Amino acid sequence: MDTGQARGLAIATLDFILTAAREHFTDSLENYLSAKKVKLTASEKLDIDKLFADAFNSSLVAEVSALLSFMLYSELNNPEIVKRIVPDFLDEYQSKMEPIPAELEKETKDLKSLAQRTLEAEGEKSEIVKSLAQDLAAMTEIKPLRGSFDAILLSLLGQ
Amino acid sequence: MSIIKRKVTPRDDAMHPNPSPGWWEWWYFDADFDNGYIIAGTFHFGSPRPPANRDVRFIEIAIYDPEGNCKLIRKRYPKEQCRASEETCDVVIGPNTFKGEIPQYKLCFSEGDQGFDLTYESMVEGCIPLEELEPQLSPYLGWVVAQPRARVTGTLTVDGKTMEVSGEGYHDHNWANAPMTAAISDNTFWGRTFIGDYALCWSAGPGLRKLGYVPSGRIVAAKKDKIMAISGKGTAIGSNLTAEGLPEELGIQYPRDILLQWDDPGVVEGKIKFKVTKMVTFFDLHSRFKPFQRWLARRYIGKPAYFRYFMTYDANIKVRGQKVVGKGKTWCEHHKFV
Repeated sequence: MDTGQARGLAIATLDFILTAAREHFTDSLENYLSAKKVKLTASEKLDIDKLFADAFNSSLVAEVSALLSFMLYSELNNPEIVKRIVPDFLDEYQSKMEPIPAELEKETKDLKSLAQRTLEAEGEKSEIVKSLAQDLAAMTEIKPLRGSFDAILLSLLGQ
Repeated sequence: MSIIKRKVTPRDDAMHPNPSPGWWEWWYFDADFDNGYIIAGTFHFGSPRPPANRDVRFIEIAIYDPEGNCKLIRKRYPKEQCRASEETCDVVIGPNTFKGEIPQYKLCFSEGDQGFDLTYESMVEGCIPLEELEPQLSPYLGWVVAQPRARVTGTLTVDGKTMEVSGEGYHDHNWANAPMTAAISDNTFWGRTFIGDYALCWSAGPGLRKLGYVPSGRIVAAKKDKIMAISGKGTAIGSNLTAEGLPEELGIQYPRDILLQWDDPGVVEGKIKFKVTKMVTFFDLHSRFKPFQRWLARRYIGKPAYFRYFMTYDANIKVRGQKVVGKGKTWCEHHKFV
């Protein structure tokens, strides 16, 4: 299996997992509300499904990816993990998100200028820091998931 | 009659070093002088605020004139110019010293045109509130209230002008193995309020969602020279928020009203309503972070800040069934963690 196939398989599996998780959450919420004599309509259940997916896409997928990648990079000292393999996964995952949550776009809109300031700041920077900051600075439009990923790694790397 | 189980010893007010990378310790003091000046400050070993830095040594002292204008002196010294005893309160940070034991402490501070030379004489016995209430917390968080209320005399120098001062103050000592964060409450208010013969030293805030909204509060209530009550069943809630006096881009607000409410029947019960008359000190606690650390902290933690407010109070509480009622002026600290 080549890298592209592995990435596609991982994304398809993540889609199944997210669907199962959001339906599990919505069903649990429905049972909780039912005990309080509140009934959800089918349309409300779909809305809650969407809220769960938005929370996952806005606050978890890039974040957990960044933390695991940081640990793998630290252990294996392989920059490809944080420069290419995981960011490419996030790009492809994001391309299937429709639409991108507004909150996520808002929270990541300033990352390009932060990266430019980091690159221009005095002081020695490691190759990995320069690479992550350059990746952000080169985005004509911020890719929110990849941007969050880069930003969290830069923070963990002391920037 | 005192309810204290164990008296404070000199060792309690000494340094409590531990190997944790986040260790910090401070010796705090304040005083309200009869001429309207107020001082409040700390001698620091380690940083109590993120990012952790166990090796830093500094003083942070605020001098307020009667109008509430603040001179903040924060100065760091190399470790070799600082020391603290592990036997008693004997702390040296550069030319500044904090020494003594109950019932008397001496504080000397001199930085440029500002300084003081003060003696703190205990008016109320000391206590260790957490040990009295929650002994299991003591390995992680120390709080010794050595002087819940003290008579303070000496000299205060402001902009090179030295004046004789006298008034009342407070001294405590905290330590922990990690910088202060939102572990217990999003917002913690701390103050000591002297009402007639009563001294109330309190730390309280609303509970955290992740901890089931259980309020967090500690109060030490003394009458004349004795501790009458220590209680953990209270909270403080800020409301009527404003951003007045703060840079707009920070998006930080603070309350105009603070309600301290205690519900420990037969121990401490009732309310003190505070109205903020002036926000006199503000620190953006992320200002020292690098850009991406700041982004991450703001996005996933919040906008932590530190405030000190001048306030009026309207107290109506009972301590061991005795009414404590009064109105007046006071001040408090607000640790906003998120």
